[in-house]
Amino acid sequence: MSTWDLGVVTNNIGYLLAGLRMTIVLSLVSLALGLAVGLVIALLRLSRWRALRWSAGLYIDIWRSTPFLAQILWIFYALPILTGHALTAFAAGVITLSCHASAYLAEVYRAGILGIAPGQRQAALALGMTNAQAARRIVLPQALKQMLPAIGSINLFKESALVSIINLQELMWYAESLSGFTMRSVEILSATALIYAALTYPQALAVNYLHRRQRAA
Amino acid sequence: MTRYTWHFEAVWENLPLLLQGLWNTCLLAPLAMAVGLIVGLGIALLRLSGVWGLSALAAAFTELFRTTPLLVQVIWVYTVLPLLTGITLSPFISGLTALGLNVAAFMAEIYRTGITAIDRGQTQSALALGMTRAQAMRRIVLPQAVRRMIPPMTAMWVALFKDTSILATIGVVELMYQARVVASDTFRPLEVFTAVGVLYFLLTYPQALLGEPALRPAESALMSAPVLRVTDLHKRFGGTGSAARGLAGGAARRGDRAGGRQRVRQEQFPALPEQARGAVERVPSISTTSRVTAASANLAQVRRRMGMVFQHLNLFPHMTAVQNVMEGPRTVLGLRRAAAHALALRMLAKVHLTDKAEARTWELSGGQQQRVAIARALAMEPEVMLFDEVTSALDPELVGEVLTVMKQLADDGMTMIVVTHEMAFARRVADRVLMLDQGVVIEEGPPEQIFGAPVHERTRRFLRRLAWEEQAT
Repeated sequence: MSTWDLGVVTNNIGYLLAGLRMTIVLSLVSLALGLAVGLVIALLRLSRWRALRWSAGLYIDIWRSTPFLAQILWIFYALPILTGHALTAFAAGVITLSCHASAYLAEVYRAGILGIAPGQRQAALALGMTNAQAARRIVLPQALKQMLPAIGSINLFKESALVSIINLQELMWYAESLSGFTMRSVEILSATALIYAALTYPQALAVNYLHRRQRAA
Repeated sequence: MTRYTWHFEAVWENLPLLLQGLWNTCLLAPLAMAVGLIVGLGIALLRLSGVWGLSALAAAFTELFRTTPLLVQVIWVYTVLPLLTGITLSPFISGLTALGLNVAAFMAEIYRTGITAIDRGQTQSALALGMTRAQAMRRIVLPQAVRRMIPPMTAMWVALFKDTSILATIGVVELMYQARVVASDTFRPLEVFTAVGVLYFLLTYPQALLGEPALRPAESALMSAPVLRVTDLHKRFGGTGSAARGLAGGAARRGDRAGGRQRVRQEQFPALPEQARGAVERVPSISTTSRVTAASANLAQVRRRMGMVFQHLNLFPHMTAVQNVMEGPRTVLGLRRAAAHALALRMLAKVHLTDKAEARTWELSGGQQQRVAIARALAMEPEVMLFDEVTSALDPELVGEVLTVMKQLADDGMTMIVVTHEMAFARRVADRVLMLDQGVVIEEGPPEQIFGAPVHERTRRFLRRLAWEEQAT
């Protein structure tokens, strides 16, 4: 039984914070992209043209039915061979995380849109609105409120830890390097777990709150 | 783009290695699922036990595993746990433990929400029958809860199957691990990772389908966009199958709208706005020259000049009454806010709801909501108003106030097409009555004739039943 030596964490806190910063930047950039791309995919998925619906469905299913690890390795190692352009680890991380998130978000959006009673859209169209106007003024504002908890439960902070596999220097990468370097994995990895929990927990609380509020309404 | 020659030999030649990895993946996933199902149930019961220390402990466990990355958990169990306990575990067992506990944390929440979602009244009525708590749980609550748990559990299983790949990082020889070995041995990452990705897809996709059939019917309901299809408003209707043919013929004989108020009453006609998109094109009797095309701009143009009131109210719940009425003039006609507001208040006055202008829709009774809906349609200054069974969803005592407003509109000279079962109203207000049966116009004429001297046997039977019902009430 070894004794805990938390000094190893405090001495190296600078590295962990640098990693944390990268984790946050990576996750937030990817989330922003994922939210936008996801909406486009969802609208394509609901399009009236079969080819668009089908392509969007394929996109969603591919990203949802393969492991994230396979996706990141493919984007980082295989895609550059096809395109002839090497990717930085950060770019590969952002591409993978945002595409991954967009596929899930597209389904969230779609469920939210379909959850609005068809009568709402009918009534908007009956007023002479175009499809786009009905979506923007009537369906989306209502759908968004219902989707909020589901959108909030998409958590890229946790997912982004896997990007360490392609040597992007985020929190998990520093944690693993420091564990090997200091031979103090107990302290380093436990601290890292707590940092992730602290990063994720507020979001989980917010989602719980949204769920409760929605149920109350 | 550089030309690239694919070399899938890298995959074929190393197939035994990949299959070995696949075998371990297929072994790990069910084992971890079993661990998760059993441990998760224990944790859920602890959480629900109500004993403070136990609930808190269970909550801490679930939150910790749900808020940290699986990768951290896997590496922690593999490297830290042996240091703390002195017991060294193989990568496989470490990975299985971490994955199993991770799944257990999510499963515990699925169990818990499934159980708490069952109405408290269910337990109470079971207890009132004299069941013990355990019996109530086993016989009444769990069977209902399980049905709710199946979709999230399926989703969990799919996620778990993919997550086994993370165990590659601690050297568990599963599919992803072997893929990385083969990719670096052969220097063919493109082929190897693509093949493995396809393999994962083929394994996961069918499982994912099991979890989400629920979305599909709702989607098809939206795709068959519920839109009234009218080819020429003053002459004929479009609709499904025989309904369209009958109505097109019947309405065409009515001639021009300029004659004043014309009203249609019909029976057993499918609710107008719920016809499938494209129905008109399937009806050969309707001339192609005046067909409303699928182009939404065109449809919107046509709709702008017609008002429609629905059976199911369909007010916009995120807006107040006056905002509902302003929405069309603002968005479609491009009126300024002040002008739209003034117009909306005038329209609300017409339906006697000035005092409810700022009310939220849920603060209004059904009859008031329906009057707001009429005001909303009127605000577009339509040439014709369509009413689709507008009183059918209302409480009987609220029907009168809506009919009064409609009568008043008719007296003001509004052209109205009304689908209704309110016979007394049709008789009193209509200029022209169409009797529909099975979507075909069987009789058409002024109300005095339809109600006084019906020709068709079906109409007579209908009116006899009506008279009988009126006597009975």
